[in-house]
Amino acid sequence: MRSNSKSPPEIARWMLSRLPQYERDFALSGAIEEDYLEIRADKGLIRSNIWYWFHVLSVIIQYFNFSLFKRMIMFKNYLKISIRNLLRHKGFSFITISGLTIGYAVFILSFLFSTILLNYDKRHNDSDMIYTVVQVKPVAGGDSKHTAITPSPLKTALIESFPEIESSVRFFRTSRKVVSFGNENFYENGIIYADENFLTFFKNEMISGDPANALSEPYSIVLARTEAEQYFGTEDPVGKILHIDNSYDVTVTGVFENISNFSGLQYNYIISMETANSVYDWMDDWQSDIQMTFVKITENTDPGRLGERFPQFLERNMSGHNDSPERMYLFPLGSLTFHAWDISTYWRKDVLLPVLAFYGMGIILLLIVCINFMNMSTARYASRAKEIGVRKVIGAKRKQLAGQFIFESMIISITALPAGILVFELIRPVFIAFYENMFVFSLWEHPEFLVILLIMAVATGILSGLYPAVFLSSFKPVKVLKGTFSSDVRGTGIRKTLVVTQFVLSSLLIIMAVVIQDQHKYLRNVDQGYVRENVLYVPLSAEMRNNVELFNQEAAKHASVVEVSSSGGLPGSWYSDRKVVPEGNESGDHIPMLVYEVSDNFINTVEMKIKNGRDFSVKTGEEASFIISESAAEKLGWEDPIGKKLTYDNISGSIIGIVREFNFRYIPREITPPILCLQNENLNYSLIRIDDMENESEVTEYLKTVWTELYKGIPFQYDTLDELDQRMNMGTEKGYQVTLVIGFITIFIASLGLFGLATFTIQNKTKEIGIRKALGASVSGIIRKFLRNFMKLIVISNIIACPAAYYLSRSFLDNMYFTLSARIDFLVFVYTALLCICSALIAVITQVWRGAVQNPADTLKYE
Amino acid sequence: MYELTKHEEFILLSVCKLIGNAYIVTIRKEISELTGKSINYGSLCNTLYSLVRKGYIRSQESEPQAQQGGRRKVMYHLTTQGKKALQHTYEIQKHAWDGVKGTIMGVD
Repeated sequence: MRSNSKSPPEIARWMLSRLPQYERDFALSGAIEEDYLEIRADKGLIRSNIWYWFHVLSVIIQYFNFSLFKRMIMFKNYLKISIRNLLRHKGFSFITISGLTIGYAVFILSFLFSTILLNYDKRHNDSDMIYTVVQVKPVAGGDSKHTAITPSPLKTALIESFPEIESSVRFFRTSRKVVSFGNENFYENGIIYADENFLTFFKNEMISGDPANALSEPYSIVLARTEAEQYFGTEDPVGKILHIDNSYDVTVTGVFENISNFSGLQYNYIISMETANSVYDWMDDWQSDIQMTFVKITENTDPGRLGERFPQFLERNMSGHNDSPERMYLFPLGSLTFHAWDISTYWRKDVLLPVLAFYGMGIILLLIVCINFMNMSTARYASRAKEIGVRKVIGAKRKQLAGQFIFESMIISITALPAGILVFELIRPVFIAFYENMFVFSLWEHPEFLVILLIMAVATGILSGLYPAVFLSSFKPVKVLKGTFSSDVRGTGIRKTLVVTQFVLSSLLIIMAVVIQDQHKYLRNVDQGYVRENVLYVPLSAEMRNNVELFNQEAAKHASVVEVSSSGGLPGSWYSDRKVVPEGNESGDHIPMLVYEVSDNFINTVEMKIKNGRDFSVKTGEEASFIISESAAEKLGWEDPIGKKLTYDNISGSIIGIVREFNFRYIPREITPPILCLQNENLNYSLIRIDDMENESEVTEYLKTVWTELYKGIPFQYDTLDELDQRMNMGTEKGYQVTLVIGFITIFIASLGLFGLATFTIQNKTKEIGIRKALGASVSGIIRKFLRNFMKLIVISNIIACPAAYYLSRSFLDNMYFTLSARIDFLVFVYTALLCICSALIAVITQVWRGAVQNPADTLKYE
Repeated sequence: MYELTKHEEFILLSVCKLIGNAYIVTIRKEISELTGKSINYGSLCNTLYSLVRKGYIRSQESEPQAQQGGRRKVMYHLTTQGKKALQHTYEIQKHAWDGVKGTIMGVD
């Protein structure tokens, strides 16, 4: 058809054609066109087109008005029916809504916590554009190491060479220092030096002081709130002076809010980088790797492409030495905590696995709650059958019916959301206190989560409503209204599968919890080659390190002190990878070993066992002595290692003995043989073994007196190796407890679901029971029959769960704990199975019993 | 029971007046003549639809027209219910204005 020159605007016309009912009911398009042509003839093209558009739009808008209106009428009815149903079946409603509430609360907890933890490093402005510079440096033996610790001049050179780099900041951690104010002095570990733009580059909440220039002057320091209170109480610290290491003074220029434990970078003090120019001599040295260098690149820059230009940069600035970097690349800020395992950084390294596991627990609980809902809705089909039949008869289409049920489940789901948030707010302080206030978080600080929760509630509603909707809308009205319907047994297969799924998931959680607990116990008790009980340790500071003997001798005089020695680190958390060159390897080929520097009485203090050769004697002269572990001896490959020479870091000495295998690392990630080396210098701790922990306070009082006499102005602190171990293991301990609690909640909810299911199953089978009893079945026989059916489900769940749980636990442990992963005890599976069976039994028994004792005379009356 | 909104009342009256020629275009013209204000097609359609649902008017497709390529128009006729509704409205109106008409409109 040729387009008439007098036809109305095409687009508007097309839009009208999208609404066919207007065509049917009013022959609308033709009618409007007729009108249009009149107007066109009268008022011309433009005005008639405007008129046309106006009216087409009015039709479209009124269409939405109208259909929404129709729907809203139906919504009113659906709402009424939903509420009536909820009130009428209080048991069902209670089980589903409380289940949803608990599921939501736990889900919010796990989701909120884990997401905050995973994304905490990304909270800074433009964090997507922030990268740290990583060097790849050669390590003798052919390997290379990745390190984010870079030389100080790198920052300026980078900014000059690459215009895409908007800004850059450096910082580095110093070793433990003594910080004093007046008469108070403390060891402080969390000191960093940082460039003046550090406080604006990274988000820091400043309580006082100006972030833009607090760190511009040399000898300035900003401190965290807790530290400020520690030294200055409630006074404003700005302007006050602190002494560092008794060697220089710094002026306080600001206070920042404590860095949350969620952050991978922890610090309590920041000293301005200008200070480092005077205090240290390597600030211009390209050979000294000290700083982490961060760069912020412009928005459209691709870090990979930028990295391609690094080789020329390296050639110009950082080449020509034995350990010049082979290459350099940019590593994103957000990945530093969880994805930087092989890179040396000043960041805390966390494992992703437990976080994922926590997410998983929240989702599992939610799933179980959804399944409950599905089962409840479908099991009581008998009570809704008539309503469905009638609706169908008066013309409801299947889709409409399904829509009604999905709407119903969404109502329930969304209603449960505020309740869930309320319960979450109740358990939040418990959880935070459980983690000893290390992780403080709140839902209201992160309002975007409310949106996510709403989506989750809607999704849960739709998901759990889907199956019941489809199921319930499939009833044939004739059958229903005729009354032959109730003899049908419908949907049991799926319901059984769902129940099995629930208990499988619950069992998995409980098994995991117990496995983690066993692992925890194992870690605390496994033989690491030394005895950590009853050992105190005192951190030593730089000035006294060469004077330690005096203190050790005095300490040994106390009656309760059994042994005293010193060490470079602490067993249980001591990492000391060195390159050890054995005698005869003149080419410099080295073996990586863990070299632990200790004083002469060390082996006795921590009760290690010498197998061959002799113990250390007091060190005289330059030559070192080594006592190597069995694995080191194996690695070295000598028949008789005693007497052979070893060299590391320009220290040589001979092997005088072999000691039973030991491990001072917390979780050994690779197998590196450890050895002990006798040293007098660079020993950071005094280790004191006492006879009984009861005498701990007496001994420490004594030690403190000795200390303050010998070393005025140096803080005295102490702790025990046991405490250290407990701190290291706290994660595992807490993880176990959280998993166990969630596991119990899941079993409880699954059993609750089973309870409801049993109720309805019995209801649906009243006639069958009546007939059986009329024909002579006994009450116990009925009970046995139904119990068997339910228990069969539980047993199947456990049979499925056990191998799956074993596999999961095994991989989890091996992934987290490497060589220190415990064996999984067979009993775990037995206990979990028993737990499931008991819990299910309790849930089901009352309903089954009640159903079984019904009088057939009553149940068979209405035939 | 026979409550009518203003819109509905006007539409029914127009259908009555336009006997035989009441379709959506003419109804709309008639209303704008009656009230002086024009109503848009969207709301007109909605009201027509609800009037049909209530049973006050019925629709019927007309013969194919000569213009516009033989399109059929949807014609509306008043039903008995509709007539009753109009009567009811008139009664109420008369009742309500009774005795007050003189004061408001002035004695003719």
